[in-house]
Order: sequence, then structure tokens, then C-alpha cells
Amino acid sequence: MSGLSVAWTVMTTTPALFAAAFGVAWGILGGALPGISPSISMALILPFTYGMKPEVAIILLAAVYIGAEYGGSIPAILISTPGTNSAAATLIDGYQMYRQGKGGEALGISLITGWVGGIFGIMVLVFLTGWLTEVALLFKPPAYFAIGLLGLSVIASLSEGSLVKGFIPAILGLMIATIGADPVSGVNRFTFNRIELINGIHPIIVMIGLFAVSELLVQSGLPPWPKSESRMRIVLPSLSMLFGRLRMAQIIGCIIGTFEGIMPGAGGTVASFISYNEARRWSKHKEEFGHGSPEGVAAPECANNVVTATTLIPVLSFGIPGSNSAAILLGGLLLHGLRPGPALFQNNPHVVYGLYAGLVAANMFMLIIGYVTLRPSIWLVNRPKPYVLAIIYVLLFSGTYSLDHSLFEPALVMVAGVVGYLMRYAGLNPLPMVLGVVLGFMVETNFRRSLVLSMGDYSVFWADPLSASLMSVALLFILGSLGHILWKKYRANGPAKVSSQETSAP
Amino acid sequence: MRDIVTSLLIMGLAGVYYITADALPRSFLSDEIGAEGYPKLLSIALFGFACILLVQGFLSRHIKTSASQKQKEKHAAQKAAIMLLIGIGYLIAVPILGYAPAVGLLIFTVAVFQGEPVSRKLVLTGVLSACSFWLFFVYVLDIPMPAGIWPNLIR
Repeated sequence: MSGLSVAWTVMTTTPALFAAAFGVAWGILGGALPGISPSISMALILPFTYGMKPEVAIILLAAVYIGAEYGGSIPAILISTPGTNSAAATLIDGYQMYRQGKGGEALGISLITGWVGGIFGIMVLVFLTGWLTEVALLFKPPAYFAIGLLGLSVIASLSEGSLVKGFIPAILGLMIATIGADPVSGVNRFTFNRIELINGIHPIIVMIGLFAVSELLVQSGLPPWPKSESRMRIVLPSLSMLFGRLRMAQIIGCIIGTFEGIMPGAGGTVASFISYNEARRWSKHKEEFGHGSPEGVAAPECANNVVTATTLIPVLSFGIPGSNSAAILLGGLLLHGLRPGPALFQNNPHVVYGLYAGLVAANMFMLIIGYVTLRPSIWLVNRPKPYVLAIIYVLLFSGTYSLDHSLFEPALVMVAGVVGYLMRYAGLNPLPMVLGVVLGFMVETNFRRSLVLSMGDYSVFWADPLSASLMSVALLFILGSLGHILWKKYRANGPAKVSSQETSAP
Repeated sequence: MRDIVTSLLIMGLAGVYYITADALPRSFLSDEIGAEGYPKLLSIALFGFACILLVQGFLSRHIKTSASQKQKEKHAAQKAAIMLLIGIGYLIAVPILGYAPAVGLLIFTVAVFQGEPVSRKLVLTGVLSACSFWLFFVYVLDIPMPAGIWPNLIR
């Protein structure tokens, strides 16, 4: 059966279309709430996908991601508060347009250019994933160990400020993954005689705790969100505007979104800010940037929607998530016993091709649902924050309870939430920890398998050419990141010294 | 100072993890590395990174946060701690009160703690939300949520 017919079967014989529509609506409403990022919107709904067919569950999660990226632009444009991190770049000109009475136009540009970006991203995803999966067939245990290590190193080295603060959470994540029965001998490790821990701690628990519960705890100490004007209507851009003035901004968004989506650790936020800068550089109306430029809305929105699809490329090909949202999607796959990589394409084509079709459907639904859910989104943003926090708390507890019908999981989520809160306080990035938990099994089993095959010879990791190349890339990333940090410190200290010398001079 | 405390805590954690891994029973089914070998490697790596963080912490200890910033952080931490306590309270209450009453109570407590005045609207929101959640989980998703002590009392 061809991929197209598999996709058609999934869309017509399962509730995939409903999942895509519901996911987009949920994502828009979640993204519209400041502080509720796409990953948190996805984490909140993740436990409910447990009883669903895998393809429907993955489509639902991907649709939430797509919807949330658009939803995040609503409060960014209307109340100057980005609903998601990647909408922070949209805020700069979007809010200025709103102040000039062009809020409807800004929302329309965000919706349409986001759709363009989403469709372009899906095309790149379909083209590249199939090709990369064939490359993944060449992988042996040392190479799988090395790619796990590469994923962790890239994410850890891209953590802001300190390289060490990226690696510590990654190792902590790998440690959490060792809880439960040893994959080789079956010896119970770190279970403390708790039956619930024999199968290990599910990555979902860690994700919900680190992302959603810790955010809830942070939000409880922040002031209420500003209110928005409730009478607003989306004004779609004309075709001449779309193919004229906004053309270059969209091309830039598509190119940068593709690269940033594939690159682990970069994600939608980096893509939208780089696109914004590049759009300004290439624009014929540079002076309007920062004062309500439509291109300033189009470029970041297009880029972060490209990322919603291209971030799936490393996830589906190698099982390496590059962002929080991609990690949740990977968690969804693992929840249904699916392991990404070539085997996923061979054994579960309905999941992969269903996902492709679901992404197209979700982008189509975004146009309609994005248009009609503006009023409900504004209504939601204007709800008192105490009620919103209380409902999210209930959703977190109820969702995690429904995973195993036990109060042990909600309790564990709370523990993970506290850990996440303390990590934020200490300046440790939670993403490497999530990645450590997700990749822990792959890293350990392939590490041990490689050593069994080589009779305990550690040089096996350098003898295998693929493994050696991947480890060299990991090393390059670490050295590059170290160099970047040192350069930043030098730049920060240099001018200060110079200025102090200047002021002390007579 | 924060980095120093973090690094010391992580060093302690790495030590405890190493000792626990070392105490794991040896199995005949095990490979050359054993169930404890890989965790031990991880704990050594974690200890190494914690040492680097400790050095970094000492080098940057002169960077001080302002009094107002400290006050803000303290206030936020207190609020987070109370939110956490409310959550723990819910986990204790739910097997006793049952799902719906515990959810109603959770919504009421969180909303009041977050500054919502006690009103008829708040009580009504709590009751209606609790009923909606109960109906959704028990009847739509078919998940047996905790019933509490009520079935035993009725019997």
C-alpha cells in the first residue's frame, strides 16, 4: 500500500479528523493563555491520549502544537503579553499594529502566514524524514549510543549561560531512566521496594511535572494577566499583500524555520527572532520595523509554524527531540509502545503517514478554527487567573491519575514539579533532563550491547565510522558552545574595562 | 552562592546514587558491565560536573542579587510552596472525600489563595466544575475516579 493510501485510510477510518480539529482548538485556547506554552498545552492533554489509537493520539498532539503556535500570537498582539515564547518576536510589531487600530490585520497576517509556514514545513518533513530514515538503517549499537549522546550534548550545550548547567540535568535525566528493572539482567534498580517503580518512571510523568507543574508553581507567584478588548475581528490579508509585500518575509520564515526545526535545541523561539531580524534586513520598509510592520508579524509567525513540522524530522528519524514540544510528541509515541526510527516506518506506517495527513488536516482546520475561536480566546484571556490556575491543577491531577488509576502518578508528578521549580531557581534547564529520561533506555542498552559485542573493548565507539563521526560532532558542539560562552564573557568584560580606563583618565 | 549550594546538593545526590548502585545485587544473567556499572559511570560524571559548578560558583560568588529582587523571589517561593501544599492536601483528601468533592475543594482553595474573594459565584463555579469533571472522567472517559469513604458509609 502506498503512503498516500495509508494516510487516506487513517483519515477516513479513525477519528483522526476530529482529533486534528479538537487539537487545534485546544492548542489555540492553551496558547492564548500567557504562561501556557505549546508543550504545556500538549502535556495537559497527553494522559488522555492513553486509550486512543496511536495514530490518532499523535495527530492530536501535533495539532495542539500547531494550534498553540497561532494561539500564542493572540495575547502577544492584543495585550502585549506573548502566549508562547516564540510569539515574543510577533509582539514587537503585532502590538504596535494593534495600537494603531490594526489588531485585526495583525491577527489575520499571523493566521495566514502561519498556515503557509505549516504547509511548507510538512513538505520538508515528508521529503527529509524518508531520506533520513534510510540513513538510520545503517546504524549499529555504537552509532545508536553515539546519536543519543549527540542529542544530549547538543541540547545541553545550547542551554543558556553555562555548559555545566546543561549537562547536569541531562545526567540527572539518564539517572531517572535507570529506575526500574535492569534491561539486561532484570535486577531491580532504585525501586526502593515500590511495585509502582519496577517498570520505571514514565517520561510523561517527568514531562508533565517539569513543564506544567513547575510553570503552575511559577505562575502562582506572578501578577494577573492584563485584560484585552473583547470586540475584535480578524482581517485576512489580501492576495496582493500576501504575494507582494509579505512574500520575502514568508520566504525568510520558511528557510530559517526549516533549519531551526531540524537543529536540536533551537526551536520556534530562536527561529522567530532570527526570521524577524532577517526580514528587517531584507525589507524595503526597514523604518517600519518596531512601529507596526506587517512583515514583522509575518516572518516570525511563518517561521515558528514551519518549526511545528520540521522539528518532527529528528524525532521520527532518530528519536531525538529538539524542543520541549517535540519531546512531548516523542513521549506520546513511547506511551503507545512505539520507538521512532526506521522500524517505525516499516512496522507502523499508519502512524507516520497518518501523522503527515493529520498535520495537513490540522493546518487546514487552523484557518477555520483560528478565525472562529478569536472571541473565545479573548474571553479565556480575560478570565480571572485564579480560576484558570485552579482548572489547570485539576486537569493535571485528573490526567495523571487516569494513566494508571493510581494516586502514585499524581504524587510523582508533584515531585517532578518541585524538582522542575528548584531547577529553574538554580538556573538549570529542564529540557536536557527530559531528553535524558526519554533517551536513557536507548543510550544504556546500546552502550552495553556495544560493549558485549566488542568483548568489553571501549574503542568500539571510535572504531565504528558512524559512531566516531557522531561523537566528533557532539564534541564539536561542546567545544563550540564553550568557545561561544568564553567569547561572550570576553565581550562583556572587555568594554567595561575599557570604559573604566577611559573614565579614570584625566 | 546559588551555584555553590546547587553543586553541593548534586554532589550529595551523586554520592548517594553511587552507594545505592554499588549495593545492587549481582545477577548471573548480567553482562560484563552489570546492572550497577552504567549507573556508577553516571554518578561519577555527575560528580565531576558538580565539581566544575562548585568552582564556577566560587568564581562568581561576588555577583549579588538586589534586596528587592530577593524579596520578590522569596514572595514567589512562598506562594509556590502554598500551591504545592494545596496539591498535597488534594492528594490526601481525594481517597477520603472522593473525586468530585475533592476537586470542588481544590478549585475553591486555589481560587481563594490566588486572591479571588469568597462569593456565591466562586462556590457555584467549584460545584459545577467538580460535577463536570466527574461526569467527563467517569462517564465519558470511563475512568473509575476515587469514590472516597461514601460507598462504605452508605453500605
